[in-house]
Amino acid sequence: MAKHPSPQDEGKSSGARHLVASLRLSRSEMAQKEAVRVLYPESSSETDLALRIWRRGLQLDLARLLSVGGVIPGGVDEQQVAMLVLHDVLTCLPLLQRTGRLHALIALLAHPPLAAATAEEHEAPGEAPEIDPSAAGSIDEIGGGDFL
Amino acid sequence: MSYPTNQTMIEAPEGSILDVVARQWATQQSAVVPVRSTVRVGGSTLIPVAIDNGNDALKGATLAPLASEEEGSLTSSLTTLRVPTAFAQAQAIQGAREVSYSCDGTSFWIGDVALRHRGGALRIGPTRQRLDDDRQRWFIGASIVELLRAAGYPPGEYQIALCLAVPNMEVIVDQSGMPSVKERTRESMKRHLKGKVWEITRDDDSRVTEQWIIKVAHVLPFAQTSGTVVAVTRTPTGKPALHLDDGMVVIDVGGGDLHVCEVGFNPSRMINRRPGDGTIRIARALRNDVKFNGIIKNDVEAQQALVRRWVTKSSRRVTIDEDVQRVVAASGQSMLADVLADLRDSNLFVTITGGGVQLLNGLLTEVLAQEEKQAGRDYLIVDGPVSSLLNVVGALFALVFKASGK
Repeated sequence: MAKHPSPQDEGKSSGARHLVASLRLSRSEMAQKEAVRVLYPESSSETDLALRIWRRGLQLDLARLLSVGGVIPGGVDEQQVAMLVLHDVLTCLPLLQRTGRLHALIALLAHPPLAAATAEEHEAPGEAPEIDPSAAGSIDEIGGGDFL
Repeated sequence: MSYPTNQTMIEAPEGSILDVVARQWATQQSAVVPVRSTVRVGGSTLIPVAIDNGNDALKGATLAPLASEEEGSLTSSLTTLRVPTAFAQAQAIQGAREVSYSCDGTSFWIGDVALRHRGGALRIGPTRQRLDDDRQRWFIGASIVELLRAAGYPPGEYQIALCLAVPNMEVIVDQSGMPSVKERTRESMKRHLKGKVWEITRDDDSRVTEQWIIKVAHVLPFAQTSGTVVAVTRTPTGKPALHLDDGMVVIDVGGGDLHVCEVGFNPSRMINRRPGDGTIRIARALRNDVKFNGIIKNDVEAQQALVRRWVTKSSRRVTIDEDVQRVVAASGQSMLADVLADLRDSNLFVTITGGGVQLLNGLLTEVLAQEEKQAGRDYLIVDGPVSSLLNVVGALFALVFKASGK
């Protein structure tokens, strides 16, 4: 069984890796953890900080799951998760703007990928998407022969 | 991550294969398309695979069921791959091992790994000459293994339907008046690919040996540039996305060749011209620069240096941005002149694509802005990583469409 680190062990160097709350972190991950510490001023220990960061990741994953129609355990309110993610998006707007991702996001909202193709072309759940009857013939006309 | 980064948004016909793929890549998503991940040909269920075996790199495309869904689901993920056409016999390495393959008793490296070990460029030329070379066939087999791995398939035995994009010059008008590949090309594909079984062992640094068996059940020859026509004019399910009465001109700025292909729809026809070399003319200018003597040793290395914008010198990676800009500015002008002449002369809608577009884009957009013709209405520039993959993506959908008509 893996040995749990004592509070004194936390953050100690183990080669190029560091143990924090039983998580084996690389040097760069340690540096990133220190950088985000400022976002969690209420954390009381390294373990508490690790737990808070983990919870944040869990919330994001729940939001991702709900977004694609996944089912989450009872007791989690969809509205609450949406608000948490909205807060994250708002916080990250300057970064998205600086890196040009906001523009891409707006374009995506204006023209959702696949919207034209899937919504219109999937006739009913469970049915095979029909390939347009004209498509096979069009291949012959532009240099496609028969299967060998 | 199974999509190229740095894709820009393209003003492609809405809903077209190009639009669907480029938009998802531009927003840092894998491309998901509303078709099954398998095709039915001759009573068999096969994985569709398309290969565009270019002079500088092999481009591949395939479909796979989404990780969260069962095989046979209504949507698939599109995976693409680009492998520099370099090949080298594998050598014993102490320490971290490179990805190597073994087929027919020969161990070899391909692509970037082969380049790192001074691998040679593979034979270029007509399909028949290429496929006659054992190394070329091993290279194609190993590239298909990498493609299937990238798509998420585990090692095992697979039956595929293979669409091979062939050079436009190997397409002729047959007796029925339809464009069709030359008999020699067809025969070569039958001899070397139809029914081909690659038994490939793949090793890497994880020391886990993978066994792959790839069986080619059916082969579909397809004109290289026509992949672009499919990707621009059709949706993923084959519906028309761009209505053109007469046809389209595709200016394909490839690695080896600059091709101009006029594809007529009514009547059906294909007219091909080769105004000159593709980006190889820029790559050779870089290779012949005295500064890169002994550093860039062959055409494939030169093409890779152009794309990556760095070379390895005395074990150090050296950025060559300024050198690339200089040779593109000097040698790119003649290529630009060829492109412009064809754009001006054409009464048809023109699509400018190919890996060279990324290289020329600064020059192209600047010059085209001065032209009377309008982007979107008269022509379309396909930029970003999708430009070098468009033919193979279109070829993959050509295979899907063709199989649907069986």
